[in-house]
Amino acid sequence: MTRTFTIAIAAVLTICMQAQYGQSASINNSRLMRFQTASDFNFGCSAPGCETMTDAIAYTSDYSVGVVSAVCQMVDQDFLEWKFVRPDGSVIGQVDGIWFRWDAATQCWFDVNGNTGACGGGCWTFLEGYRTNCDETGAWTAQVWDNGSVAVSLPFTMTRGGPLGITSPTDNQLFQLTQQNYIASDTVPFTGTTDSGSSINWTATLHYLTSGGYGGPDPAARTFTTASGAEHDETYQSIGGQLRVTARTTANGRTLQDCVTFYVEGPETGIPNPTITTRLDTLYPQSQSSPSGGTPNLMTGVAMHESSYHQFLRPSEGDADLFNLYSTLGIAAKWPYESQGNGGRYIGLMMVQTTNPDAWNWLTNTTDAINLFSGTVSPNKMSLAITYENYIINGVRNPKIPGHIGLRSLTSVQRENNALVLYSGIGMVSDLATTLTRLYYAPVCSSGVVVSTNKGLECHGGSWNWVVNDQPSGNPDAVNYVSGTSPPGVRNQLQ
Amino acid sequence: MEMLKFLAIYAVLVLTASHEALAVDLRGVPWNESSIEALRTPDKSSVEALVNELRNGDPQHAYVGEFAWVDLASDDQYHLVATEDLSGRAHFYYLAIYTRSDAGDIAVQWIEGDEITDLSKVIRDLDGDGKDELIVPSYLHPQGPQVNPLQPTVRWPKVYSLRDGRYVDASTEFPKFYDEEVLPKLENEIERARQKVATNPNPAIPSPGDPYFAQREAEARYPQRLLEALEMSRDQILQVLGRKAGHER
Repeated sequence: MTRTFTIAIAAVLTICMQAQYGQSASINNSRLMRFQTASDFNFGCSAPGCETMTDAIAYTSDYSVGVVSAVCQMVDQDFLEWKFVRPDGSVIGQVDGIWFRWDAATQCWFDVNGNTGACGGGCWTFLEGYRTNCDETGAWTAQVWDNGSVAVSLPFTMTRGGPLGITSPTDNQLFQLTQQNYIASDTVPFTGTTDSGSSINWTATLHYLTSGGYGGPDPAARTFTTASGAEHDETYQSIGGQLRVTARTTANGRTLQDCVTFYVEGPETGIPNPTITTRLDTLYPQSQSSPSGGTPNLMTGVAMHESSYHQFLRPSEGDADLFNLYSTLGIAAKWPYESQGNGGRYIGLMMVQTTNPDAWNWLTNTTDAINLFSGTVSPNKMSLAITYENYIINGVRNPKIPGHIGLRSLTSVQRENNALVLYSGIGMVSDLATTLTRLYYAPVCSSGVVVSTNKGLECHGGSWNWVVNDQPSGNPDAVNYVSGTSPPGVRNQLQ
Repeated sequence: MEMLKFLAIYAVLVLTASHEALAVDLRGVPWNESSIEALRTPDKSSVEALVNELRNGDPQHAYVGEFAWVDLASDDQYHLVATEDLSGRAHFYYLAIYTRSDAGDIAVQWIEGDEITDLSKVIRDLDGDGKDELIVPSYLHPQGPQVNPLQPTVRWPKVYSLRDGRYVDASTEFPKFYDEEVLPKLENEIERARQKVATNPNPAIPSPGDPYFAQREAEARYPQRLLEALEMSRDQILQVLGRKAGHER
């Protein structure tokens, strides 16, 4: 007499039980099976979608792996669990796994939901398993636990190949931005094989945000098709991060799927300092508000102060551990260099507001910074500095702010210093009159007395001069940003 | 009460993400309970426009990071609280509290901090008196704010308390906050930083001829600099609380 029961558990498993009277073993005849699709797993086994793993090999394209066991001579409250141990030691089924409890009084197996449908004395054949599609490659162990002890332990190897296997890229492989002056990735080859000879449809989805969620949006997924064994190349420009790749093929009416995850990182050697210096020394003098007689290499000091010349940095060196690659796998990838304390709201060499291009393209990062300082942004910091200088000298009508009669104009280098204060954003205030007291230079009446006239402020008996505004009433922190010694300011870090 | 306020803040943030700005005259509407729904309607760009109108002729644009309409003193008078950046680089160093008088005049209190983010952590009633304190990440003078992560910032949270309609630094009056919420976390970070330094107490410093000298020198010195910054942050708090820095309490 044989009875068969099928109970759906969650969305991914089915239990097939057959009562087999007259057997005496507790748990025996255990063996592994692999299932190519969910249908193969859920609705019975028929070749080629369901096979006994005589070689203990499963494929990442398989939908699931299962354990078949005969269970006899149950005692009351006998508690069976199924667990799969991954190569990294993590366990499928450790929490919310599959289990059944035998109730001798009713002669029934009960599951986590208190359901049954499997009643009757004698022996039972269990087929239980977990979805393993696209999971880790390496040495696995399938276990059946009985009352808290391992009763069955079946090792198997998860590998790529079989009906569908991605051969390139490999899981957790890193590709660097080493091309096109460190803004484009090396070629990423996509290769896979099918045992049916069917073509493969690929989808590569990139994700990147800083640790605090800045940046984005992610680019559209890339899709393409290859013949089995053929290579398709992709490159990634001005973007990087995590790429989840799915390869699908159809064979014998079954749709199979394999997956890998790889990463595009910054150049591991870094961007050479001379390369950065040359660009900054070219861009700034060519920008529209760069003053003649200014400091051609001024932006090298900014880059040094803002980022120590880093566009990218490893988690082991203080950067964020994106995707937990370093903490979980020890992979120290080079990610865009994030600002501290805010999860990367600004980023890279010049610490500009985070966008994907500013994070991944150092040319964009430097261009945006110099546009903000002296280029296309309106008003840029240089032009704003000159406007403020004129306000201080000539006064403002509305709101009424007196000028300083006889105060000379600043030199180009001095104007750069005021602009650097504005670039830093340090010590600023909410109104114009006070802002004019927070620049790098402030007017003082040397050897004279300040007299307020209807034309402005006169320095009787002396003359108006500019002095460095490093007094507590001025903006000492911003002065330090420009010309401090410890830590060194921009002017003391020119390259 | 505190819970209700932060539900209100959350609602504002959600609204900014999901609704078109409506034409609400933020300057003309009373900032009280009766108008709060109208105040919450405009999006960040409208608030940023208001903030820049109030800059009194300053051509420097202020960028708003986060904002919230908050009844800070539990008196049914709402204030606009906003984080602001003046660098154009999303460096939100400033917390601005805008208050509208019954006559319609708007005054601003401007507090300088360091990387002010997440207003739900900034605006809190620490002592349960119904009046919100402001917890503002601040840097240690004269070190100044450091944006370069390899030059770690000496950063500590100042507590501002409402006195006669203005927020004043009242950090010394909130030892419980520091003892329970700040110092334990800081001590853990210090211990982790110590362990990191101990694993490589004498890092190799590159030669000046190295083409990557600047990067590698900064990287090599980072663990020690981080430890020093964390210890200085802790010592600053202990000094503010009147305890001898660096000793067991």
